[in-house]
Amino acid sequence: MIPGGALLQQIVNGLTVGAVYALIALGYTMVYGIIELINFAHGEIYMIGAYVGTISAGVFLAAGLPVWASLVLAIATAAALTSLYGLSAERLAYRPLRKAGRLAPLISALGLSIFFQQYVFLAQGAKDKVFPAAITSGGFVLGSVRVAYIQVAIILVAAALMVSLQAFVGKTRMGRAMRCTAQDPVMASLVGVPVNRVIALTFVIGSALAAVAGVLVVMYYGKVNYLAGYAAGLKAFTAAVLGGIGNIPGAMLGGLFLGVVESLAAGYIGGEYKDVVAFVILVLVLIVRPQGLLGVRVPDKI
Amino acid sequence: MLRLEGVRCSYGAIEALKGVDLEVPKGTIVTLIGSNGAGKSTTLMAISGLRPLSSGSITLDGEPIHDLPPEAIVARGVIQVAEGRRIFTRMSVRENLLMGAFLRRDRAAIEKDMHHVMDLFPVLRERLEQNAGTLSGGEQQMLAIGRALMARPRLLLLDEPSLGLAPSLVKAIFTILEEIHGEGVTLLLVEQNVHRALKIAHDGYVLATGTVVLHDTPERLLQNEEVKRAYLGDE
Repeated sequence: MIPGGALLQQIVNGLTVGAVYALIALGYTMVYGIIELINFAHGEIYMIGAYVGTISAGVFLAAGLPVWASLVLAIATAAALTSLYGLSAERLAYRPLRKAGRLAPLISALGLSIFFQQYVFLAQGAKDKVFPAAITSGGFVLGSVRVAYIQVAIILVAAALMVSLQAFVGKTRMGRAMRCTAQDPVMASLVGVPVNRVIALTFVIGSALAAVAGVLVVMYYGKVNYLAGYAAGLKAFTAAVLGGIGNIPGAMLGGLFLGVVESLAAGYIGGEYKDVVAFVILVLVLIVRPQGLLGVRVPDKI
Repeated sequence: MLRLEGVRCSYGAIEALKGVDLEVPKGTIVTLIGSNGAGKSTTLMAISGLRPLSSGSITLDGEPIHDLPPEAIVARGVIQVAEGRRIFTRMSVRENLLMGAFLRRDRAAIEKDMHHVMDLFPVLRERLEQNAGTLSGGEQQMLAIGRALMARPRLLLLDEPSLGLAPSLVKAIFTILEEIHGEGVTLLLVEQNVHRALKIAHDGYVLATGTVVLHDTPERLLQNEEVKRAYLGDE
């Protein structure tokens, strides 16, 4: 048994990672909710966000901007540029296949995932990309728990984005249009919703959230490489399914839950077992509650 | 107001519309009848821009609309109450009504219209914050019509608004349709309830296997032996 202080430490670490999973999971769940596609290229979108953030942070620092301003601008740049990748993916790889059944876009998504990986590999090389500012060092001690400032930042930024997203989807005109399109795209057209634009907007929002997650993680761990999207994407997808795919609060809950469970497994059983525990829980949830923790339905063809 | 000329429409190899000619003059009620699979719903979907034409034309006030996306057709005031109501079941009644006014930006007028719709359908006022999925079939149909009215339609397309409703509700729905018409809205009505639908109409069409087989005044269609035998039963 590890002492109580270590338990709290694992929970804090788990919430940090979980917040990141949740941000990425939102992209999976929103896209699934609206066009019933598992966007397997979404992990790569996260990875591209991390690269764009790292590169642009370097540019802003070199330009002599203060560190905090460079970081904020890097996050904004990553969100903006990466959402263009998401937008292009929808236009070029998914929209032409919208009426082609469910398998074709799925294969297209897998292809796009490999394409993005190799694209970053060719453009940036196989070596780890190191974040230009050392951020991990700072922090404070609370009781027996060490909290890094970057952990606080990750949790706060993720929470702010999730609250904003909930408000946008729940309360605004375009948010309503998104929910209508998710429920009944034909009827949404009949009340005048530009369905294609709403779908594109969903990809833009999902990609921007994943990009922010990417930059936060590269700040946390200090580096990223072109394969980083695979593992993170798989975990976030797991989080989305845990919460109930298609369900926005579910993705948030699933992400945090998965992060904490993983972290506890790493602390109590050993770091090499954390993925085992994560996926065992996924399997158990799928057996006992296939619609996920908060979900109402489940993909029937994947 | 609305004119269809030689409209052809296919689902893959099956041609659902084989040259439909139809006209809806401004200020009238036109009723379209026909058996299942005759192409009535396809006709409405084509007008709303959800089925591409393989040939022919659809014009609104003389302007072609068949190449426009659905939202542009809604913006021109052509609003459809689709078959099976298709309300947004996971949203509140209020949100459903707001979605009907999606393309409008005049907040104050939207609020006013919402009250007008609730005057027309008082039950919706009681259920305003309720999840629309919890409404009964009749209430859902009222919501579907109310939602369409929120768009301030000039031409309302109705696909079987009385389907599956109790007789008293059917009567109520037809009374409402006449009221809506009285407010200056042109109606194109697709109905199985042929008798009632022709009674309130100014003009009638009979569709069979994708073409118009009869076009006449409602009075004459109601007397027509073929129509009586095929659609009116014992009435």
